Amino acid sequence: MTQISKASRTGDTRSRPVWDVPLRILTAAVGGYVLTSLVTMLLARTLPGNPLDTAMAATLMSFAIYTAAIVWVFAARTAMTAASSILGLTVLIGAAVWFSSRPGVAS
Amino acid sequence: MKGFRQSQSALHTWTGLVVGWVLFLIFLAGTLSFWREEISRWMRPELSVTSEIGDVADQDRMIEGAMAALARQAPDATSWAITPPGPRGAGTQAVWTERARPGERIPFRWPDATNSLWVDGDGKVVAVRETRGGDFFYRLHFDLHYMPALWARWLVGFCSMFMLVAIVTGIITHKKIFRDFFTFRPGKGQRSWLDGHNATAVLALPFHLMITYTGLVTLMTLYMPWGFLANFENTAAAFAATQPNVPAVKYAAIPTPLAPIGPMLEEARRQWGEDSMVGSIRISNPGDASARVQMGRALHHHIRDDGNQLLFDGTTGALLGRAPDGGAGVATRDAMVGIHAGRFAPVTIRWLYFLSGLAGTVMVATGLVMWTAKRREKLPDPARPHFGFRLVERLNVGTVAGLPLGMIALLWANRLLPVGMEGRWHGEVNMMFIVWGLALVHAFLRPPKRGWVEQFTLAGALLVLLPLFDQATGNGIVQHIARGDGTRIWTDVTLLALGLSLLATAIKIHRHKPRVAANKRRSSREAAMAATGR
Repeated sequence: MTQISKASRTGDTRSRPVWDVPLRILTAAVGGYVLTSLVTMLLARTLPGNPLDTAMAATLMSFAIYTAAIVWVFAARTAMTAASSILGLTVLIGAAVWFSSRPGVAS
Repeated sequence: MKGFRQSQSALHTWTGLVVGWVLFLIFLAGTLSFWREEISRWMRPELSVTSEIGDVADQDRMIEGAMAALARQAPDATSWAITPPGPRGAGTQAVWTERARPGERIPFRWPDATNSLWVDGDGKVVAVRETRGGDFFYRLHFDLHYMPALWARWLVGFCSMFMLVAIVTGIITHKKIFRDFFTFRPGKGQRSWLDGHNATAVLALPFHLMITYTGLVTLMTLYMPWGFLANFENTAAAFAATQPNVPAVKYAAIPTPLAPIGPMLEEARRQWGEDSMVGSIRISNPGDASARVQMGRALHHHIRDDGNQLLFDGTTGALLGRAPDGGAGVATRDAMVGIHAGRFAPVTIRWLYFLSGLAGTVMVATGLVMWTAKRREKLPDPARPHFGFRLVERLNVGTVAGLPLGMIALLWANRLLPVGMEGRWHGEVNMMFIVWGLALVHAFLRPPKRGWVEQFTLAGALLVLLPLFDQATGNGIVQHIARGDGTRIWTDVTLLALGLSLLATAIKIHRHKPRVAANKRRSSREAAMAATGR
């Protein structure tokens, strides 16, 4: 079988569960987006400057952050590693956003 | 048992394929948009060089002419919008929105013969054929067509994000993919017609990265509203923070004449700098006590795409407020949008934009063609490719050659449809999609190589014939030279050059001989055909 020989040539002989790729796609697309959104929110609230400028600056960076998250999800050793790390970061940053407050609004 | 790399590669190519056709349209239409004003000039031949603007006096004359025309044509409108020409355009467009009766809702309409008019360099109303001009290609590259703009923008955003990931991963992690993507190896059969691809694509790589990223930035409040929602009530509140901080007024229903526009234009120049041109004027509730005049500075003065909006009281002409100067974040966003749209670009930089965009379009197209080129060798029976292969092969012909053909048909429709035709601009646009559709059908009926040759030949011939048609009907390059109309001269020359290069491409594909291995397969196919008696 050409596929097997090709796989062994690239040194990729470990069998992966069938859900490895679907999980990565889901983690990258949805998980990456949610994480990016929360990082953007946190940056918008914590960067120095007026609320409009910090929101702009954070959002400008968001596409680079999203790209980095996607790249990382596909670079991770296993899909589970990728998914659990993205989830962990999401919870962590989500909590930070939760405890921060909108500028001008008392917390 | 498929290896991870294989499955990822399959994912990449299949998603890339679907995204590729949309990206081809985005790149091609976006690239043409760098000549938006030139295309508009070409599509409105009634406006000549005499309706261009030389100085602020020209502009003021046109704006005053447009105000007078609007006052005659649509005194009871909800709003007027006046767009003076940029440094490369001609004629001033005046658009109005009718006032809705109670309970009535007036749907949005692009400027057409029933809600807009044109004013020439003397400030007089001039009859101009109804067309969207270059604006159509500009809108097409992110709003697509025949579908809600919101869906289109999400689809375009998804494709752009994919493009961004493809570029970044290509550069940093997959050196081989990068090389495959950008390397041209001569003498390798299928690829020999892609001469020059390598140099242009590598040269333009920073451009691809820039245009993709800044393209996402132009619509970032849609794709990524969360940073704004973290700091503001809603995105509208964030937008309001970039505008003059003046409370809105309601229609008063008290007839009050508008103040003359001249002093407001002078005040605008005092605010912006004496040599500043006006880019847009919007008058709400004209002729009412609640009239407001909003002016935006022309966008060609510097790279930053900021409107510097000013708000005037329409009845007194007093300046009510101006847009706040943004800080670093706002300035960076404005600069990124400015670099994407290139409205600042003088003609040399504009040519670089256009050629880089063309390189990107070719890069996407060759990526699509390579999908079939790579798989052809692995087909179990090249004489009978499986359905998916045939589908992709034909869709490539019908899109990469068919879409430009459709766009050229749109230009012909601009010349051939009756000038007074109702819904004329829709006719032009429909013509593009009809011809594109026919090209897709044609691609499925003809062998792929014949399909490429025939469609590129037709497209090239139709493009070359356009300036000749103009000459034959008495408003061609001879007249442009006599009038000293540089824009029209160069547009005709460019159309001619693009048409000739399409013809050259067709000839090159026609003369192309598949390499030996392919010949062997062909002869085996002929043998197989002979054996089955076909």
